[in-house]
Amino acid sequence: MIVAGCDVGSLTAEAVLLENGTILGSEIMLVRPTAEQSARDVMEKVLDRLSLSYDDIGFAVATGYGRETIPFANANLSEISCHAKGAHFLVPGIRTVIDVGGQDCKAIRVGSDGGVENFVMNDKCAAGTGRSLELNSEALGVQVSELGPISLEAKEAIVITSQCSIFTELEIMHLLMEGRRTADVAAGINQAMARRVKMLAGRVGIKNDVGITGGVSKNVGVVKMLEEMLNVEFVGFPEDPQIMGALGAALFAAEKAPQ
Amino acid sequence: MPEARRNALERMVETFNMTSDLPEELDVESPPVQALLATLTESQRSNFLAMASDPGVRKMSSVSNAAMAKYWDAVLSARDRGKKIAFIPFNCSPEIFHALDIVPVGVEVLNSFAIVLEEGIHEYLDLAVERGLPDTMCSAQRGVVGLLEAGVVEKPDFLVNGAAGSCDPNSKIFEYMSEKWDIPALYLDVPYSHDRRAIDYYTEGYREVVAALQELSGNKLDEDRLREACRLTNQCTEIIMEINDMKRQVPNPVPNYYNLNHLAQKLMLVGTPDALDFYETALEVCKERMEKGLHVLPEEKIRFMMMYTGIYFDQGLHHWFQEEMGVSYIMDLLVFFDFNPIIDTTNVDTMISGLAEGMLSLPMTRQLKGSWDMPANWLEDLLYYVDTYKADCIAFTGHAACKQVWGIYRIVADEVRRQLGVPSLRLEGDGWDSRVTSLDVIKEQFTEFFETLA
Amino acid sequence: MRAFQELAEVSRTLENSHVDAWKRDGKKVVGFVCSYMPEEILHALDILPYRITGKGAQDTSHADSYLTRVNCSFARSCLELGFLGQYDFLDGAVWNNGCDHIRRCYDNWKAKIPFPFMYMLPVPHKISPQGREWYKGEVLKFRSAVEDHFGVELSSKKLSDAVSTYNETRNLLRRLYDLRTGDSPPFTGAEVLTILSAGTSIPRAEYNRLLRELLEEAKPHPDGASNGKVRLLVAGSLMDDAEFIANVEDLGAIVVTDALCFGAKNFWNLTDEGGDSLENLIDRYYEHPPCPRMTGAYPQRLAFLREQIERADVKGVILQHIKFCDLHGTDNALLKRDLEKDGIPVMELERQYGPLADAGRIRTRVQAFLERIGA
Repeated sequence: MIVAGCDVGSLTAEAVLLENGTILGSEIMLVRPTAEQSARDVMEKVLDRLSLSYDDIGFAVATGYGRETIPFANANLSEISCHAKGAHFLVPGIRTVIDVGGQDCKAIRVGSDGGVENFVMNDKCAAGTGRSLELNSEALGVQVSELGPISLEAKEAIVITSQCSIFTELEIMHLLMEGRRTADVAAGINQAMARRVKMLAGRVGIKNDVGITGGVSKNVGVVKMLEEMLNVEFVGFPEDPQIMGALGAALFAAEKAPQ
Repeated sequence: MPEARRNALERMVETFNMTSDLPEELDVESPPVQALLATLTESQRSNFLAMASDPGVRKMSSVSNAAMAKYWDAVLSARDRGKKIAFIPFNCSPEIFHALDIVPVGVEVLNSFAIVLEEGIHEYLDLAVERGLPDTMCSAQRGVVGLLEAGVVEKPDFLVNGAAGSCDPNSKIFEYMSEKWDIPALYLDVPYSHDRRAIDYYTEGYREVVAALQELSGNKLDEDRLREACRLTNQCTEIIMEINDMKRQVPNPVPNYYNLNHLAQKLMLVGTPDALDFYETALEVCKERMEKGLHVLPEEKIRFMMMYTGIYFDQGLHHWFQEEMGVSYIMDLLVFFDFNPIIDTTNVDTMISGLAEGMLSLPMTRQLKGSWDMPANWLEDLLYYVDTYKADCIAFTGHAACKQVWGIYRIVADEVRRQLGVPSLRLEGDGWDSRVTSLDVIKEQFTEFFETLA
Repeated sequence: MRAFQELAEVSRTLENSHVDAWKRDGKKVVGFVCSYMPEEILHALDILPYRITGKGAQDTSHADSYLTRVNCSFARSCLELGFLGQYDFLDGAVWNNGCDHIRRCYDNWKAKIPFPFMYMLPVPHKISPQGREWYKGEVLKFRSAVEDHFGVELSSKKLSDAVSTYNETRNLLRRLYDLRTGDSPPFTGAEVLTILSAGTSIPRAEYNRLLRELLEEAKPHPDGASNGKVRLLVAGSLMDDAEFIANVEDLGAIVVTDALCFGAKNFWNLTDEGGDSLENLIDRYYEHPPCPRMTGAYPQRLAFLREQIERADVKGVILQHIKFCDLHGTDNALLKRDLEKDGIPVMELERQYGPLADAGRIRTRVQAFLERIGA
């Protein structure tokens, strides 16, 4: 049976089609104005590519921010459970997942069966999410994607003292006016970010193997600092970790489908 | 924590030792001093300049720091000497512990001094939250919880708390430490009012705590030691009052930085000969300044008071007020001691009563119990201090965890303005965590505020 | 379910029809905020004790100029309703120094809202013989103050009757909670909170009558309420909001018991009958399952939770606290550790009360928690 998983977030939507434990195809796209539209568009894109239709789907599970409004879903589960499930499928030894997205940050302890043992989430404060990196790199005058590589050239990470993103912008501008090196400030920005993430992640208790996902995981500077702070080495994923939620949803679909 | 750090107290002792023998003549611009400053972190540099630039302040700080070094050293060696250690809050008279041969450690004082560690306290503030404590709990104690979590400070033998009724976060964090690490805790309930019945109730509770301490420690209360400690405290009280008298003068000759040394000495060291040494030195320095007509530079433009706690993450602020802004930092609530009684040293009973009554008038306990406009409470005290010391303006740091103060700031500040015409500023700065609002922003806000008063 | 409908109607309206009828009879209504206030005393003086909450506040714009964004949203919501005149039907209010936030709510209310008879009954922050003496002194002062202000006199006969009446409520509620321990609880957690909330704003005799009817009407829930649903206990900060519970239950759970001050903690222990009623009341109120404001009483709070978990066959615990509630927030951190050691899945949840409540956030977390237990 072909099963489907669909993850509609606040920035992107993903879809995964699965059959007998093998990924047939997946798709990632930016969200549309409504969750329903996002879900349809992303699902139809992957269906089209595989020359399949909705009728071919035996069971579909939705997750993410808009999960309760997706019409073709037979069930919905939290993105936390789906994330854990997807991660575990890709890396069976995984026991901790840290997901730092654009709008929120979560840390999940995963059991040996791929179930969730514990989790913490921050979705109220920009600090410690991708949003703050966006704001700060703007203040620094660089692309957010450059923040990581630039910071690797740093001689020292300038300690950014402000906790609130609003004040951080001012502080960055002051530092630049004082003639501090861009690379050093970039390293400071990444360090402040890593600290916030560490504080959240520490609450679930870090256990190897540890993986990191989400937009911020593409910032090599933050990743390196987090590894140092947590004293771990993040495992790599064989697939783009962005599809992990949808993949987990599809795996749940396979379990829940009536036989 | 990348690797285990050396015991925090050890490092604090070293720092205090280094700054306990500051020379009479010291030229901060000279090459050797500049070389030394270059090795320090920005925060340490700022602290050093604050305590060492002015000769009078330098003298007081030397004595204070020597006492601190000795004090923390005693804490470090306590277990080896077979002594028990009690963590107490800042508003808890230390004299009784000296008489019981228990070493008291003021949690907030330890928290404040930990800021001078090389790594600062941010990671400890964060670690406490990481390990479960809500982040709305006060940074004045949270650093210590982090230090304990990290194992860079040893756990005490007992906990004594005297804030239940005047501050929820304070009393709750002691319960947290007690339950988390299985440390026996004693609690003193603060009554709602300050009348005779309330004082008697509080004193009775204090007696129970003293009895419990004897039981827990296995030590008996030594009357002579208690009397000695109380006598020393009384002598300190007299000097404090004399210095306070000087503060009432316009312009104020007492250096701003005195308040920082005074805070630590009064809350933790009082009852010891070292504290008396400090106050005698401070009195000497202040008298000299008064005779020479010295005060804040270039002239006293503004007489300022913190209506509640101050900013403790940077000791340079007092210095900045003094050297650059012409602002006399008269006092903050943590050094409001005008209503501390002289202890009757006739017998154990009178001393215990005196200590209890004194404790009920220690900062925060006195002002934040009960209701804001009751007798011997915050409004009444503020009106007294602002009027007596002729403050031109007051400010509330906006310490994040002081939710109850945030909750009545408006009615209190409005009333002070209405009755005395004195304006107030509300900042948003955490007293111990420099990341909430940076020092630069705080200074900017003060500058703007002072300009509106010109 | 006639009785339930009536209670639901009552819990929706601040100045409900029972209060109106009471006042039309020329009788007084006095508000209170905390479970440490001995209601029987007011009841015995023919005064209706009415529990003040922030239910229905649309925003806290007035309150926020006094209590601020770092103060408890419950305290702010109450103050808001005070400013809007929604509590003008009260003839007075009795406050306790429950926590810093409600203490300052009282300060602001007293300073800024003209109100007849504003009384503060301070309670010790620890449970000790000395504390009991103080509490007794305060209760006696309180009684005198009420008598003086309202020109009434407390009779020991009426007080002893009040004790019986209130005990009857407690027994009835206990029976209700007993029904919830079975496989098919007759009411959802949301319905129970509605029942409890209603009881704090109507005359006791009425409430007892309605509870008796309710228990008679009660049948195992039509869709076998417990079937496949995760049995939960909710504990933590003050909660009178049935919608919050409904939001949780909607995701596949049923709340079968609690450790809330609107719930089990409020009625679990009875007042001794026989002997001096006032002394018995003082004992009962002082020693009822303790609030986290009572320092040193953490072991009792943990024990209460364990008792509830066992008797109601609880499979998961939600420990919630209103943002900035340090008393519950800190206690919850300890409770989570200890209950998880017992093998009970626990989730901690920080929430807001009233208009700031954020249902979406909560749903995501609770759903993940239920999935974790269900797995």
